[in-house]
Amino acid sequence: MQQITSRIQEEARRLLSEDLVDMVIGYEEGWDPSTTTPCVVRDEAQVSRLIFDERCVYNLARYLVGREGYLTSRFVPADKRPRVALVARPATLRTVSVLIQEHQFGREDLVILGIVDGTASAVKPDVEVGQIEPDDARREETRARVGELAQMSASERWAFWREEFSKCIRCYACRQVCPFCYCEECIAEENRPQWIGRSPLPRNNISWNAIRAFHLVGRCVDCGECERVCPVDIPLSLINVKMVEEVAAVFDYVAGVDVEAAPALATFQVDDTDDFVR
Amino acid sequence: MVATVGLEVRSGVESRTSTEAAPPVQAQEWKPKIVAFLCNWCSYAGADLAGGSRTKYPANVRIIRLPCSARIDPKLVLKSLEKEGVDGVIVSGCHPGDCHYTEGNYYARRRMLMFRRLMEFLGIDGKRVQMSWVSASEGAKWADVVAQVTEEIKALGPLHPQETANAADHQ
Repeated sequence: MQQITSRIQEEARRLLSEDLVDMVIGYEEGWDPSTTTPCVVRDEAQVSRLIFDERCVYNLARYLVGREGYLTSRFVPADKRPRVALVARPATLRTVSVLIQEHQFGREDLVILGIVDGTASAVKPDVEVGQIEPDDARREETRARVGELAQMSASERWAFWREEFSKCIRCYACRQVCPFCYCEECIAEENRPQWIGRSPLPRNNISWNAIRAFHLVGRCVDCGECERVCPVDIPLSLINVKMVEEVAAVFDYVAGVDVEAAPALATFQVDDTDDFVR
Repeated sequence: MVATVGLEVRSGVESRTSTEAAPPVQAQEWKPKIVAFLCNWCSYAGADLAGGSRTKYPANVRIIRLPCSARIDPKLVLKSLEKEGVDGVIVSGCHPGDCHYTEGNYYARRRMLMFRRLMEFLGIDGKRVQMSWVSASEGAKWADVVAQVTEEIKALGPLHPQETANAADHQ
């Protein structure tokens, strides 16, 4: 880990001093020893702030897209946008692949300082700054819990999710942290018509969580950020992983492994399964 | 008091206040309420043909016409299911290859399949989210689809048992 930190600092210093990028997005020490926080380094003298260790879990691709994203902000003309270098975890690499697939920016707009773990990703780092162990344990556990839920009866599942969603306080942290929630105006804020009631009533919460989950179908790369930030611990990864599995099983598509592929729900095959249609 | 009919778009409060006047729910057979989103070019014309040729089919279905099945965003379906009293949804479009816009129904098929799987995982029976291909000449098929779906949803029971008991105003 110490080695990764020094590699990141070294590369950041090189990129900034040679004026190859305007900023490096990475991680730095947080406000207490248990946390780190994202940081943007624009000056060579600040490079020593950058660190990397097991606390650095955030998906930094979030900073690239959306209304205020460095690569897509509509408040900044296209020719004035910064050249960005991004410290990317394995999930972030997959995220960047999907964002390129969705034409948010081009691969050439970004220098990636990648940390890899052997999982498949279409986007390869420009500089590989280190290797970490794949988080197989977490993935296995999530898959196992998805399997358990799928075994339950529909009414048991309904009871489970009703209970979970009833905890939702509609803080939208899951949306704010998700790199794929880059819409300039979210459906949750639309009010003519109002698709999702604003108050945290059970049925509004179900609508919000179902729509959020559906908007990630065929896009989610299971970085786990939405579940991590949820202040009331709704197991959002279960839904995301379930839909990742469904998309893989039905459309033979995995998000983030092919930049050329069209996203699953933005394309079709004439011979897609018809068996649920009357 | 005559309760609102059709989609009951804003009926949450009204239907509850109408409980006192309404007979107990057991007194009448429960009839599911189904919302159907039909594409303008095939399925709507098919349903029109069923009507025009006086084909009898269950009157549980409320039809909403949209330009194409690809216009039917799953949020429309979700919004319908969220409303108390709506027990199921039918999404219907042109047969594959016959889409007026060439390929809209293919996108709709992918979307609705995934939406259905999502609903199933959340615990809403997939039979409440139905899809069908009905062409403009298939009035009889439309009648069949509605009859079958109505039966299936009747077997499942109300989606919102509590609200349905409160409303007790199924025509």
